[in-house]
Amino acid sequence: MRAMRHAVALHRPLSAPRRHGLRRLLAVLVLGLLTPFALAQGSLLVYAVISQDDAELLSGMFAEQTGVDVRFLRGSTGELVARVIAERGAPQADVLLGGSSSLHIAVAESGALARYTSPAAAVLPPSARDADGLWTGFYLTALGIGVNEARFAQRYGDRPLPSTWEDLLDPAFAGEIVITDPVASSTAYLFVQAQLQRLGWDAGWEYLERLAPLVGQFPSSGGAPPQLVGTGEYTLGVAFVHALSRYRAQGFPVSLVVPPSTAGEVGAVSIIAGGPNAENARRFVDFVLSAEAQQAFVEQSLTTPLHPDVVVPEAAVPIGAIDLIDYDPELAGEQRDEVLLRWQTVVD
Amino acid sequence: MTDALRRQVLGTRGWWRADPWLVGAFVALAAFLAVFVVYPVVLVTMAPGLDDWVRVATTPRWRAATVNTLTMVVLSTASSLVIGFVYAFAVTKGQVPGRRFFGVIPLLLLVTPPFVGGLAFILLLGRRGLLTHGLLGLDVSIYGWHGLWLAQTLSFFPVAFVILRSTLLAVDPTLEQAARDLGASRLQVLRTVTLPLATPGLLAAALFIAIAVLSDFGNPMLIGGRFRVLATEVYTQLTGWAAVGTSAALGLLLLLPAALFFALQQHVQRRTRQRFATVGGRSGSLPEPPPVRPLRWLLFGGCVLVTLFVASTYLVVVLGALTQVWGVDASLTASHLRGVARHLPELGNSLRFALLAAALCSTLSLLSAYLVHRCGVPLRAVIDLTTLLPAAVPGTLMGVAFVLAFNAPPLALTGTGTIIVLAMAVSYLPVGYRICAAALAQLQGSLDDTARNLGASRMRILKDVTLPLLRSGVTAAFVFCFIQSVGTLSAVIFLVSFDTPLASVTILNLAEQGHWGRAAALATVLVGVTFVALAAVRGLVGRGFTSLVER
Repeated sequence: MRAMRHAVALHRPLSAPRRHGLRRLLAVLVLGLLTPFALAQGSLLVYAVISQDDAELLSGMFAEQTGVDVRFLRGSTGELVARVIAERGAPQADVLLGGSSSLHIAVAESGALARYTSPAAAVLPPSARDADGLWTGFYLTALGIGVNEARFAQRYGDRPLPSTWEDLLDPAFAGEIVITDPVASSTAYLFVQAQLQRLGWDAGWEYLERLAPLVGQFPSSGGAPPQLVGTGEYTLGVAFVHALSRYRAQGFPVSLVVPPSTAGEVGAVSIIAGGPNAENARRFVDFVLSAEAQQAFVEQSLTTPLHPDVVVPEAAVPIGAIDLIDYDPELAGEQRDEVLLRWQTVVD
Repeated sequence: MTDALRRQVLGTRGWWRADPWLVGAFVALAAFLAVFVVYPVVLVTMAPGLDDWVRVATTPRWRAATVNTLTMVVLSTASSLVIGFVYAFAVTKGQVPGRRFFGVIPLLLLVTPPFVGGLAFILLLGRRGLLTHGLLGLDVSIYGWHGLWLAQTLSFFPVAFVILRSTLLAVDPTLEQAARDLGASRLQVLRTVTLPLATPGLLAAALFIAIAVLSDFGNPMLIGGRFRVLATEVYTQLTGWAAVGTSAALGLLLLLPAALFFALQQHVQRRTRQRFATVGGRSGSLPEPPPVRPLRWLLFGGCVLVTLFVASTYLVVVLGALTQVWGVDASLTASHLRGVARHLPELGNSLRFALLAAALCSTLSLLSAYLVHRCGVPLRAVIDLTTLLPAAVPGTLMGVAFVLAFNAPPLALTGTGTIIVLAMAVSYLPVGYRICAAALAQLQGSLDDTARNLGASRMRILKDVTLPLLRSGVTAAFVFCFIQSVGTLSAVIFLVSFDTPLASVTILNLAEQGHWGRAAALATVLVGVTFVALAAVRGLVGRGFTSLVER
């Protein structure tokens, strides 16, 4: 009850003894208001699309090397992209770390990103960085098929694991496949576009229309398929190779298949225009692209490195083992509305 | 002229104007609602462009989702209401053994971050679930409308319970006593006295569950399978594609049925309110006779069943916190729990913000209910509607609205704890308001009139007459807002910042990336700390506080 009276006092003190409560509450509220302005000079604020522990790793290493106080906020791609765009008037963060380059392009188009061409980016292939320096790639990940070994053996005996995208069309897999919903997730849209670009428009749609009835579930989150396959809720799942690798490395009975003609995405880092710590943001980008940071990052995230000097850990898939189609992200962006509408009308 | 005389001269209608405190409270409340409810909602309605509306209207998927949503709302509201009522009846009037204990159980479900419940649900009832696979050896799929129905019922019956419990407590036992003395059977008493008196509460509960089911995205996302509902689409359009316009348009689509339910509820309530106001709350009455034995044991059995399910939910979470890797390596470890130390700032923030939000929310609820239903202030209908408005706005949409509204001066609040506290308070204001209004509806206005005629000032009446009688209602509002705020995700996911991380968001991040041990450990600690905090506040404030948990 007392706590409640304090809040009554927020509007108007009811009687004298309660005014303490008012002051205390006001103090808390005012302190809350002022904190963003009280940030120290030597700090850096990172919006992290990469996983919690990967963000902990990179920010910890950078803090140790430079003494800069790094803080990060983790969220899904769409969520942080929405934030960066919404905050254009008053940027709250310095760096957007991770997430596919196509989404960084979308943010850049809204005018929320600053240009910076890091000297460390010179070793990267030109396709992995923006010519104008709006974003720079720092890892690669491709789509693969995860198979729950235990459930597969139980249901299909000793038949070989599916090894191509076409193998998924076997009617025996009905209800056992899980693919993220392209309408909900940019990851899954990559899968749909990969099929359309690999097979051509008509054959691509035919493939998708044959596949969809076999799918048990189209979850909304890109993180769901590896989880559902790892725990044996479903036998087969389409997901990013590194996400599947991480479940496998944790001990889940997940086999990893990288089918030929898959599509991948470059994960990028970019600097938010007008962020409070521009100088530190540039140092951070240099650091993320350095061989040392890349090595540590790859070993933990099990993504595929872009830096030529980085040794690929055993649990991760090297770039040479991934057969990538010549994916056209611009075409994918242009066709988005049309493809998603057709997906919703014809396929699902 | 003395105060009493002035009041007499001014008459009944405008009497509240004579009280500077009430006028001040009215102005403050109106200003708050205008700035923190109306303004963000108006901004968000302007977010979708014409093309967004066209896209929403022409997409068959979203038409199917609309039908699914409405079906699920009807099913889940009905089942939650039945279970909530039976459970509340068992704990209040049914006098089942161990009712104090049973009274706390639904609160456990409220405090759990929604997706943790969903995850536990899969671990229990999924294809490899502890119960379905491990115990019964089944290979069934819970994904689909049937699993979702079950999950929604279990998630939202606590809301019905909280509202109906305070309603049933406020039903004057002397009236039931009188009916019994006049020879009414137990069923007749229930049908002709208890249920009609509980009507405002039942309606309020129905409205809130319906709207909560409308806007919940956690359970449909985890358990819906290929059964799609609008709320998930609102969330995923935003988080997947950053499509604010489409998301807002879909969210505004939810406003329609919400407004319809609301109008319906208002209509029925207006017709019943006058008829069923009771005299003086539940003060001074004879002890109630316990219901007949078979009924008591039936109610007891129901409580045990619900409790067992809640307990197994928690067992799964606690086990998850203590095992190395769930489903792979079952050896016990304390490393996940030790890892919680890294998340102390999040835990502290979650509790601090939720407490402040609950204080703010219950105060606003009480003020608003009192001013609207007792004082005849101008713009009553507008205030009433505005206070209820946030209930119709899906949480994530409200979060975006807050970012849009408070990112720039004069009210640059993004990144602060203040905006999180405000968002929490605003999100649960409708429920708090309804709880207070339902409690108020049962107090007859003549009590106020009597006190006023005896010369008591407005504030004195509020303090000495109304508040004590509303105690259980206000407390229910406070506790409800507090525990919902601790676990909430949708309202705050866009508002957390570097300085204001929250435990629920961290749990989602960890769970999403498969770090179940760490996620479960943090969830376990969060639930534990929440109840310790509730107990501490109770100790600090005195007995009256937790009438919701006690009695």
